[in-house]
Amino acid sequence: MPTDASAAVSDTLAQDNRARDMAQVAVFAALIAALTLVPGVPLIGSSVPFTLQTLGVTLAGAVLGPRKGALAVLVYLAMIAVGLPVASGYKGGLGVLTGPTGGYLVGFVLAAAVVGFLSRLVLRRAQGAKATGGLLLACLAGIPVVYAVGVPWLAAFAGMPFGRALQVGALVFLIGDVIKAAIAAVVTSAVARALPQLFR
Amino acid sequence: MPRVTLSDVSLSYGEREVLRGISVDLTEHRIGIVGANGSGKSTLARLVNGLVRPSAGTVTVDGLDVARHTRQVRAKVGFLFSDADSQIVMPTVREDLEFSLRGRGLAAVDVASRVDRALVDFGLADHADHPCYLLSGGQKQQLALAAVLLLDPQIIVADEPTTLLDLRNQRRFAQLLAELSQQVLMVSHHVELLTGFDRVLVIDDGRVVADDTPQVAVAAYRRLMGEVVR
Amino acid sequence: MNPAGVFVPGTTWLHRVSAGVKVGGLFAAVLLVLLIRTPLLAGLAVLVAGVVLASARIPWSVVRGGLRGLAIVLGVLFLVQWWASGLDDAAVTLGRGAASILLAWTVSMTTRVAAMLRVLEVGLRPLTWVGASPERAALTVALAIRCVPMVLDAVRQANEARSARGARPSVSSLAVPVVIRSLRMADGLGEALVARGQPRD
Repeated sequence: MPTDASAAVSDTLAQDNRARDMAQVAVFAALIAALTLVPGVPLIGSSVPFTLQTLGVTLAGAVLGPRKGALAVLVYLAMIAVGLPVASGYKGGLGVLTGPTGGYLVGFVLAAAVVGFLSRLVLRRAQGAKATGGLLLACLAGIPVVYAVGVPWLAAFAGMPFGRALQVGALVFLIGDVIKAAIAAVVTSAVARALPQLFR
Repeated sequence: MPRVTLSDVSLSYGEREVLRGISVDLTEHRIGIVGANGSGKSTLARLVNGLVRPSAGTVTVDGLDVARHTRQVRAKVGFLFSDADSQIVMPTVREDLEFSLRGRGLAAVDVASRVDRALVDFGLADHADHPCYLLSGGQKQQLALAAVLLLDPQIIVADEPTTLLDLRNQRRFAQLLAELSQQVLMVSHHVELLTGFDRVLVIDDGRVVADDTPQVAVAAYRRLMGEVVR
Repeated sequence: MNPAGVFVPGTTWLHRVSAGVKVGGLFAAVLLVLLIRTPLLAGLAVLVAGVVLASARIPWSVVRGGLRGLAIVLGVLFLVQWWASGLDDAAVTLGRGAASILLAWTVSMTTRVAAMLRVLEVGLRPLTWVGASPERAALTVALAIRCVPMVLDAVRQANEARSARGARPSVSSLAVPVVIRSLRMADGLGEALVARGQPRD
């Protein structure tokens, strides 16, 4: 029964690939959690404390691609939902997702997908250091996606005018988010050189 | 004992040849595999569980071709990694043991009773609900072995399972492996742990360069490593 | 990792109630809390949530660490809100946030993650409509939980390696090693899953 046997082989290979994908998605969800928990100060050398959560989200998209990247963010959100204290400020539970900043978390899923799609496009055309510029644009593209969901959500939740929400919910984070996008681009470009087989 | 057979097995990653035409028939109870870093010994161990596939030749376990019947073979072959941390996949000790029995269609009570027994047998009962990352290195490797044994394997392949353990735990863990009723295939740097074994293979540069009793094979390995025998 | 929110073994009524009931109750409670519009009711909600948490008899040492983090975040939110829309609104937001987070903590500290994941599996059942497996999704979440301390460890190791070399904190000395270590970790984890015959579905 040659067809049965070859079906069994491709079945096993598919199972092995699923295991590998699951592991990557899980590790990057954990990476987003870890980057949210460690204070961002030592990485940047700035004195303003902020979390590296968006760095983790952007990296998930850029390194894993749109599908696995968005899944990693979803798994991270599920970890918050089941009550683990892995949201910013060691918060956890469903309260975080339904709270005033829940929109940003939803926006992260879309951002990872957009960043992942664009990064794959860049890496297919350019290699090595040349890709870094394109990756920077891809990573920056995640920022408006996050704000597009997060800011209206904040405005609606807190009952504040949209302009005020834009001020407290986007503009104060903009510089930090641009820096983090730049870091994500540099890291992704370095990882693509170190582990090229991952991006094929 | 089960029979693990490698027939003219070669394996290369791109340009790099890792295994070059290995043919062995393994039927003994306790088999040790030693070799330098990069000699191909870990790759050899992974072949038995289908974690890697040969570029040429075949690997069979009890007559089943690993490449074709991977699922059945994996049900027979349990695999222990050197870093127990990468093997433990669940948040707490009990959950990790339960994970082994996932998707086997067992009733919840059966799962619970088998897991409870394993917790007691491996001295982990006091840690059942602790997060795995709080266990000591020795306890982590015990947990990894308990999780593998829950699957009722006939063969245990262990890839340098004592590398990350201290001297006392190395001996204790090797003793535990040697006392198993299953066939044991242990890859190790710690040649002194293989003295009670039935057969030892020495791998160098992708070939079997010695295949004998522990005394003879280990002496050959020491010569190969250029170690001064006192 | 901060232990607040992680399961603490116990025998109180909250430990005995099934996870599904607790999560359902939490959902209902959070919806109720979101309807609150006055500072007085918000305060009352915090009080009730505090009593529920206390009835789980979680050791104070576990709760304290989480409360400090919670206080800082809610404090900042309170100040922003005060400045943006006044004291009353700020107090309501503070109370709603504190009450729902305390309740969410109570659920997660009295429920084994395994039980929580079974609830998640049920909650994700609609995934089968789009051809995905809820069991596999819940399994991935459990894997991720297991990986958090490992990734935190990778961050610590990369930082130690950096300071041992006397390098300044930078993207190439910290962020790149952390990501590469994480990807290696994923390789090891994927291999371990395969060796243990998973995912079976």
